[in-house]
Amino acid sequence: MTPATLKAIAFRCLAVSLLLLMVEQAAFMTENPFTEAFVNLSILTGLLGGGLYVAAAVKPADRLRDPVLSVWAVGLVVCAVGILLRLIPYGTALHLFADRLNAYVGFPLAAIALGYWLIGRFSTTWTVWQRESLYTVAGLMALAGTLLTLSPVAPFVGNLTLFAAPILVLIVMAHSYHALANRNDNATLAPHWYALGLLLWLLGMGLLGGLRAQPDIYVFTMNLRITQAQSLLTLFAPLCIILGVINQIGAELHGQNGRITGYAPFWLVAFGVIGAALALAADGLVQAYLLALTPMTPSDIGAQLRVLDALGLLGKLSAACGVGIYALSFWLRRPPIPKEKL
Amino acid sequence: MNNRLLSGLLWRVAFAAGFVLLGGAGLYGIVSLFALLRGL
Repeated sequence: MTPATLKAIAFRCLAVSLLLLMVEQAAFMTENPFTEAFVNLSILTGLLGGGLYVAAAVKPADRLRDPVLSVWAVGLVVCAVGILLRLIPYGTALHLFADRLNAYVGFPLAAIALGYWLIGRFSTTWTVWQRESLYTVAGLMALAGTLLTLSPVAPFVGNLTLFAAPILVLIVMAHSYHALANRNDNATLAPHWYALGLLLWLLGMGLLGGLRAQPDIYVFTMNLRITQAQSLLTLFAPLCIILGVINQIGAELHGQNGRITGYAPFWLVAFGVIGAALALAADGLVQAYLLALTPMTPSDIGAQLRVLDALGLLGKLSAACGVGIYALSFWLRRPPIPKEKL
Repeated sequence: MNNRLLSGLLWRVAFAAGFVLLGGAGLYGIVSLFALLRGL
């Protein structure tokens, strides 16, 4: 397969990912039970498309030794294992484990690899540093993800994760700070989306994930909306990196160094996702306190939570609006078909 | 137009359907938000 064909296939995978993200946002707004399936499919196709585009620029013989492609491939293999486990028809616990494996290990590994490909495009850091840093960061993310995945297995693992997850994710952020602080003249919004993805991982995996790994807190928050906030943040992080990859690839295929999708979708999605997650987390806390401290029943609490529900809905609307504008500008500025000799 | 990626009819239909779906969900969201705010 020629590099031009591979690039065209990769771009189409990313377009499908964006379409699935639009459907997911519509399902999320209407609280449809298929939301989770759409978000997982959107992430998988996006990661696949991004990796194929990276592979197009590397000689076939060098692909196994390429750091970005090797970490990306490990991430996708973990996702494949997760999907296979999900297909086994029996065992809710097994399905829960498979979901956690995908969200905490598979998606972060593949997405961080694409993030480091973006770093190669927007940062002036040395290639040697990028290579070393990617392996370190992938190891740290894999460790944090494994701890988060296995935290319900034993109380000791949960207690360890409470401290380890935030520290590990913070070290990952510190690595990326070096790259984000030393920028070249790349004008795309790839660094912005990458930074947003990292922030969401810090909140979703590091903060809420770490907190909820502690066995007592896990039991206390099991039926609260704080769990939705955590999964929203954790799953939107790889999506943000995919949106950055789409931005960068769009600019490259156009042969222009510019913002393809604009600032508006970025800020709308950032405000929307973080706002909705904060509202959901606060909703959970208020629910827990009202149930514990007052004689109210769960049916009475609904009226008390209306303000937070409205804020959560505003966040969802903002994120959906951002995704809509992103998709519109992506469609209007879709690039020319790549030629063989560019 | 044909020298662009995603130029086929299927892509146009898919993206149009996506925009309609997202727009519909957005309208539903706005109506729900107003209903919520009215109840405050």
